[in-house]
Amino acid sequence: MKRKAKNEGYISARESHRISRENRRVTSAMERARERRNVPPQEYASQMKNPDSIVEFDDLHTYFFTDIGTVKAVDGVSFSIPRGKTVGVVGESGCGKSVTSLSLMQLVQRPQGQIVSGAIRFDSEDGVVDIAKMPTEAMRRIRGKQISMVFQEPMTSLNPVFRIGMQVDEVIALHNHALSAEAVKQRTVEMLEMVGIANSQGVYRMYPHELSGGMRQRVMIAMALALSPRLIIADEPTTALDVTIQAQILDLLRHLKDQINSSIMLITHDLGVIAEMADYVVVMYSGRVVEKGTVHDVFKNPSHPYTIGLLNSKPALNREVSRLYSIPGKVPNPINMPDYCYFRDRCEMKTDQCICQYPPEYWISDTHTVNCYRYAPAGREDEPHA
Amino acid sequence: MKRYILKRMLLSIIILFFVAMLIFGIMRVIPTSFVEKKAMERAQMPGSRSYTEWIRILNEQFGMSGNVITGFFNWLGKVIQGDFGDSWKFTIPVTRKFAQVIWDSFWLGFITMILRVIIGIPLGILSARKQYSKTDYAVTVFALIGISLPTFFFATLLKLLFSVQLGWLDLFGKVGRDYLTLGTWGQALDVAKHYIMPVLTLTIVSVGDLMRYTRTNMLEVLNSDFIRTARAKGLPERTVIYRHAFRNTLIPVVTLLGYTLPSLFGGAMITETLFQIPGIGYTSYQAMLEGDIPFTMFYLMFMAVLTLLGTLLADILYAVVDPRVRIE
Repeated sequence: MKRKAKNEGYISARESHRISRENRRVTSAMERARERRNVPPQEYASQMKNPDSIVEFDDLHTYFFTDIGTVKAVDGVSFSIPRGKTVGVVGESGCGKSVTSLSLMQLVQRPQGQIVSGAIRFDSEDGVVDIAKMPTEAMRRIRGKQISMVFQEPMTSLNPVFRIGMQVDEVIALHNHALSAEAVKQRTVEMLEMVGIANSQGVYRMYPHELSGGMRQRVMIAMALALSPRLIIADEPTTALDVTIQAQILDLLRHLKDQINSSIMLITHDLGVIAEMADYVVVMYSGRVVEKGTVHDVFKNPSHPYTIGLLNSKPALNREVSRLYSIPGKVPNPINMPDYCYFRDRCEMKTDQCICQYPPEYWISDTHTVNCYRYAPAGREDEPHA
Repeated sequence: MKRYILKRMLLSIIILFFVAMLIFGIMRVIPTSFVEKKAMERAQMPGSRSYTEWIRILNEQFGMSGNVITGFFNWLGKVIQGDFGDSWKFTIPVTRKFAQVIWDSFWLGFITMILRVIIGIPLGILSARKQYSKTDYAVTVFALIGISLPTFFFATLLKLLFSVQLGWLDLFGKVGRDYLTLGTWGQALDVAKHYIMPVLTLTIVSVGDLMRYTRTNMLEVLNSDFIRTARAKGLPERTVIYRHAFRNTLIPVVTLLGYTLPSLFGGAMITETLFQIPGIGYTSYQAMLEGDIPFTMFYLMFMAVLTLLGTLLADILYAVVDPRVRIE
């Protein structure tokens, strides 16, 4: 018994071998489907549930098939991004917010990471498509042009051996074959100026290592906005930057978004950034959405115990505390998830209902939903809202 | 840049001086003495002088009478004037013997290096792109077999296959028996044919490390953030791999190739011996066995110069492929 406890979390070599063989079987079938060429567009065409949305995640499951078991990084995420709005996705590290956005770009680390089921409906220029079903070949035409991404690490996200100009030119030229080299360069310089780089001609000829982190992030933003995409995914765009630069970068994103009229999916664990930037908030925990609503809903009336804990652990200037609040316990092991509420073991507000299966989505108001039994309408506990 | 190269050159001269001193010292103290052997031979002839007398005479003759230090500076003095002396074993000027044998080794090394690059790098990239796939395992096993098994094993296998079983190629030698009757073109073809097995042997044993090296570096690059950025731009996979990733993989690989410059001229002793190709590896081995100081000194100094040039070349190439490196 004692030995068993000690070995918890470890698996035998044979078991690992069996898992990895099984994984290879599963992932290579998915890879083959993904790598098909000349797939008719009807196969991945789709229909939006709400015509005002630009993106709808519908019960998305993205798993990582690792040698020690399947990690359900995203396990049934549904939310939508309205046209022209900013949606903030918050949650602690490892809760699946980045994987959700990478799924949208089909950039999850392959072959281990795979979109297993669910749909990601995107209102593209050529009609609504389901990105979860799209082959890589077709996805390529959406990446960079219709959905673009600003990454977390500006220091390493630019290729160190190519000049800034070339790297921005590349994305413009790629999606505009008709443009001459001169016109491409002009557009690049224009973009560099737009993101507030004063010496745009000089920076055009520089290498990434000659720029500071803030400057590099501006270049990344210039690259992301160069083609006026319909959606910009900003994956913790300011985490690696110092606070003064953070504010500038966020301002920049907000202004540019209004200029080109696109939507932003803003991923962060900084609640301050969300409060300032977002129109809607999605709170994620362990690969699932636990609460979503407008900024006003979530900040004024946080309902899920996790959201409440999250807001409490935010340092505030006008409150005097001897020790900053932190949510007790730790995130459950992503390989063997329990089939009850993932937050139950850390929850300070758990009730008798919490022993049953994972809670469904309950509507608190027209815009605000939460997955917690505390909001189950009295009398019909197990009936989720349609 | 010019200043840097000049500085490195000056530094190289100092290094070469100490290298020469060290090698000379070692050559003088190793138990294989050319003079002693010669004296022994002469003394055994009927009616000859005694062994000790021969030693004295021969020491005088070969300039070995002084101590190591004076011997070294005598050698150095002549070398500075461009005189490397006569080889004791081959009894012709060292440089002439060297010129006779170096080209065979050079061509062997050069062709091997080209094959190594055009096989090793693409296979390394392929294997990194399909990590843990059947292709990856096949390439890795092939590479490891090449790295771990010795030259003579492959040489023998190749001989068994191509000479004994199939009878396509000669077992050994640089030219065939009817070499002299062939025209210029025919002679070249004949030599080329004799080069096939040595080159194959050398390639098999050396391609593995470059392939593994490329694979490791490619894997590292493929997992970096800027590759994800390149994919997020919508670039085709081909461009992502061969433009964005490859340029970065090239940085360490180019350095590795810079360091292999000496091996181009270094000769391959075992392979040359097995196939009886009179290259520098084989010749210098013979010279060392006999304690031929002038030839060994020349050969080892030549290698030292190449090694220093190779490192300098690697450093310059490093700055060429990686803009973050600036040579000052």
